[in-house]
Amino acid sequence: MKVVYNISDNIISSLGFTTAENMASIYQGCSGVSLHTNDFGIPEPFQASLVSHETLDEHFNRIADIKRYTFFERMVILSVHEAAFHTNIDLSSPETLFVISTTKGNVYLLDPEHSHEFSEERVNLWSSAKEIASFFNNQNTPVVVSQACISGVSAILAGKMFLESGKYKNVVVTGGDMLSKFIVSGFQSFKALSLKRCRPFDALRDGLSLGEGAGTMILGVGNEESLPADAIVVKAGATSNDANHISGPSRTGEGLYRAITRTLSGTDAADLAFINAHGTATVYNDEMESIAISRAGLENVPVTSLKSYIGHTLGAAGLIETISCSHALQEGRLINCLGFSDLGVSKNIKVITESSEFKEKECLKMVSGFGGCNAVVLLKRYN
Amino acid sequence: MDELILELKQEIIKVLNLEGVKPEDIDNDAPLFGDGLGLDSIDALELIVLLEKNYGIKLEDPGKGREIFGSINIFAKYISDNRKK
Amino acid sequence: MGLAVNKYCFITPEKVCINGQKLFDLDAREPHEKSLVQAYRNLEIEYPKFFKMDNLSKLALLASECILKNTDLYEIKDKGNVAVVLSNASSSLVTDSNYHQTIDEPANYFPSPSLFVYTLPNIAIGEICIKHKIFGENIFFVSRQFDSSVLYLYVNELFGKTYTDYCIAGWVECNVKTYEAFLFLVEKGTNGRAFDTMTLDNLYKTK
Repeated sequence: MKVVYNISDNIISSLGFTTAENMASIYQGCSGVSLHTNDFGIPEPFQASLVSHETLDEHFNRIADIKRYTFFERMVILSVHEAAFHTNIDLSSPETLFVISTTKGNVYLLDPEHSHEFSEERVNLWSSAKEIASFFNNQNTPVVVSQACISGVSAILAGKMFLESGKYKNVVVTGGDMLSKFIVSGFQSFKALSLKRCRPFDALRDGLSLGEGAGTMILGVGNEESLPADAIVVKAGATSNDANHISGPSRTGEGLYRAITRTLSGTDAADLAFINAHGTATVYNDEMESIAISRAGLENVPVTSLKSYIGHTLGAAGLIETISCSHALQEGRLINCLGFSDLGVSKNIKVITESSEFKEKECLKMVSGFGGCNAVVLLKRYN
Repeated sequence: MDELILELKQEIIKVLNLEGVKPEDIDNDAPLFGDGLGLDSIDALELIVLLEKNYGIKLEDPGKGREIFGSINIFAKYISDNRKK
Repeated sequence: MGLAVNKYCFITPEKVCINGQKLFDLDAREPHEKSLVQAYRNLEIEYPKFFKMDNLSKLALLASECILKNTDLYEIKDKGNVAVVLSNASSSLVTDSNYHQTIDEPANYFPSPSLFVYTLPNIAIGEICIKHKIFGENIFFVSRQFDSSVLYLYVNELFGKTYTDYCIAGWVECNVKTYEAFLFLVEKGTNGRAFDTMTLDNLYKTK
């Protein structure tokens, strides 16, 4: 039977420029989230995890001219470059498709202080995506997925579908978001940000920490029987809508619950090593996720969130966090839910407090976003 | 106070896009949230912006919003007691 | 699996059409917001939340009404097997610019949450799902122009691989110059137009 699997990946975040650097920092309990005052022209301080422009550009300078690309594009291009580096995948092949996930791309160009930096059309997501795909000489029109915070997982599931159609041999699922006055001010207007580093599922949680970064998964399709050792297969997934409110999570976790059950149809929950939740640490999101997890009968599956390590990286989140899941499956070690101390949700979910070893081969990654959207992906480690 | 109440109603109708609603349609003591005008969490946040923009009152704790926006009368009294503009 | 397109609609500042028949004209000289409200009234929709939406969501909501009205789906209270797949070129750029105006000047810095919430194109999908109680698969693509091949490929897989029995799909574009919605309903069966890229391109040309 043919399955879609992860050939190679990369994470760029405040914790590092490779997947290995990021995973090492995560397992060491490091956080890239810190308090920022007077950044981006924002009057109020905010917690965020930022990617160092200096270090990014040191790396980027080796492959192209910094001035030709926006910061968002540089993160994504570098991420794809790093992911593809040790593979023999031809990124320029017509059988390779780019699927790019982002919420706001180059929106910072709307700022009168920055609008002169590039042409007017560059603020468009399709334009930015074209720059990214063209960098690798790929002639296929890149597919852009823009679906709030679920963009990354949505893009992975879309990539899987494009591969299963038989039209492509490889799909480069990549994505990112950069922070800007636009984004930070918006979340502040929603009173959604905590002034402390975020505390997912915790009784004292009071909002999220923002982040920026990029992630890439290069997917291929192959026979189950002849996958590389330790291959991570994108086994199943689903998206769903709460059909309730455009910004408030459903009180019954309706959409997420449905996405979970559709994803797990045919899978024994006992095979799940862990759930990597969205865990943004807002009062409502974490409560909603605990309800959906409980309704799906998964209260005993260990749950974690990465948001306190790298912040909420928006369009990159679904990618970066799914990649972390795949490596955790390969390591056989749980990721501690940084920022968590005492359970503060109504359902008795098992939030991870120790990065212990496990033997199970599967895990769930879930995300939810503005617009009432939810996405879940099931990963399985083979061999 | 009457002037403030009328002004407040007009502002609320405008910033919350309450189509077809006139100031005289809004009962001064009726709850603004819940059934009445069908306001939701985003409306509450927008009213917090209105408080600061029009009256110079900064509301740090959005939780207090529900109390203050209880009704037009409660809202107007709060503004009258705390306004800086 | 045989898939067919039996319902489609167009909404532009000039008119609203369903299945190739014009329902009514709109006044293209009016600002977009006004003509969209005119379409809302002509379609006799009773939905006060409409007036809180930005133009992109208004347009998407109107188009979804055109597609679903007078179908069996309209009355169903829980549409878990209905997918929504939308696309456009400008994402939410008009609202993005409007939102940016609330943060541009330091002396007049009042970020608006009711604008910010609409600075994501998939909110339009959310509004459709809320009104019509749709819980199925959903995704939003951005491309320079209407791309029948991506929509076809993706929707075809949805029917084959997920719990999808119906799909509302299409193009909902809103920019400072104009707006345009081309929405169609894909369902199982072989009656009517075959769902393929040629059908989509031919239908799109009839706007």
